Amino acid sequence: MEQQDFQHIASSLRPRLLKLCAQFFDSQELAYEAEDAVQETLLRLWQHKEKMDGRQKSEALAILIAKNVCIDIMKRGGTWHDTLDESLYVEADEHADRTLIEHEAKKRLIKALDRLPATQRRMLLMRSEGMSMVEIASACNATTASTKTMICAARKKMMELLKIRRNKK
Amino acid sequence: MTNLNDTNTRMQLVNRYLNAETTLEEEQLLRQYYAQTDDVLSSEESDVRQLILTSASLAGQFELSEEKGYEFDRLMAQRPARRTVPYWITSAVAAVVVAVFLLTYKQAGDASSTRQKGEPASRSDAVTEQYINNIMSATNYANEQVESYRLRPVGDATIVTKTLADGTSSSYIVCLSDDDKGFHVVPINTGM
Repeated sequence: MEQQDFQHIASSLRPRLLKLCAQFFDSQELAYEAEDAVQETLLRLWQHKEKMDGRQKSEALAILIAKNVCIDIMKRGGTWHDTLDESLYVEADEHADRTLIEHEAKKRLIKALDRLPATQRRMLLMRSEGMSMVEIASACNATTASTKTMICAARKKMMELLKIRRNKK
Repeated sequence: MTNLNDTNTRMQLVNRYLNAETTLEEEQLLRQYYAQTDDVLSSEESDVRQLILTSASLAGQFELSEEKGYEFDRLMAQRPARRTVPYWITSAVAAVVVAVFLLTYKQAGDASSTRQKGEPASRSDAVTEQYINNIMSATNYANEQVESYRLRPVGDATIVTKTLADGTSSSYIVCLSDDDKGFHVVPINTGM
């Protein structure tokens, strides 16, 4: 799928997705920003871009994904990530240490990401997924220039937070 | 070909990464390097490594579920038709709309008093409060929370614009059917 196709689809679907998510969070009395849910929807839509075949199919897919996102957010208690399993069961094998280290690294990163503004965090994750600056800008209803500025700010803030956590250990 | 085993080259790329100046291909190179290297890294570079490798896993693999779609629909269908605006406010708004509409039609009627003798009377002469309520009902859908209506007479028809509680609005052309027993409703602009 061409980059401009995703841009166009993201722009045209945004109002409808916003309305859908806002109505759901309102009905479930969840204090969660519909805009954040829409950005997560567009990220997941991008992850499934090979299924976007024609406008009607893309729209139906986006609506289904938005519904999935809303249910996932409700089950996560209105947060942006799953609760990490604190009682990680570590088997006594050669991979145990590595698994534990990776788990701890993930925890540290999530705690640092929690401190970022929601849009910066979403943009950072979208870039990690391999989305271009133009695609991220479309998904987040921003300009390409401001997207680059926000990702730069997010990465530098993450480095600062990771350094603080490292020095606390 | 970028040689990431050279520390200076690598750190230049890292600085560009932190300034969001790298391309996707360059970021992929950094990811591959940090995933494979056994080199001892500085504290700062360890943080970069952690940021690059771990954030990729956080975006997550997402499984699309039809079941979750059904669950969403079921939860939305269960919600009560909740009024966010008290009845008395809605009634007051409706009364004002009716009064403005009647006034507008009256003025239009006065203006048309110059029509030629023998010309058939305009349908607007038959406007009543019930007619206006019927127009508004014709554009209503179940479970909608309507904040306000705006009615604009255009010839024998009426353009109805309703604004919902979520700020979106929809417009319709409404006119009497030929047998005067019902309405034709034509959506112009919905969910904007």
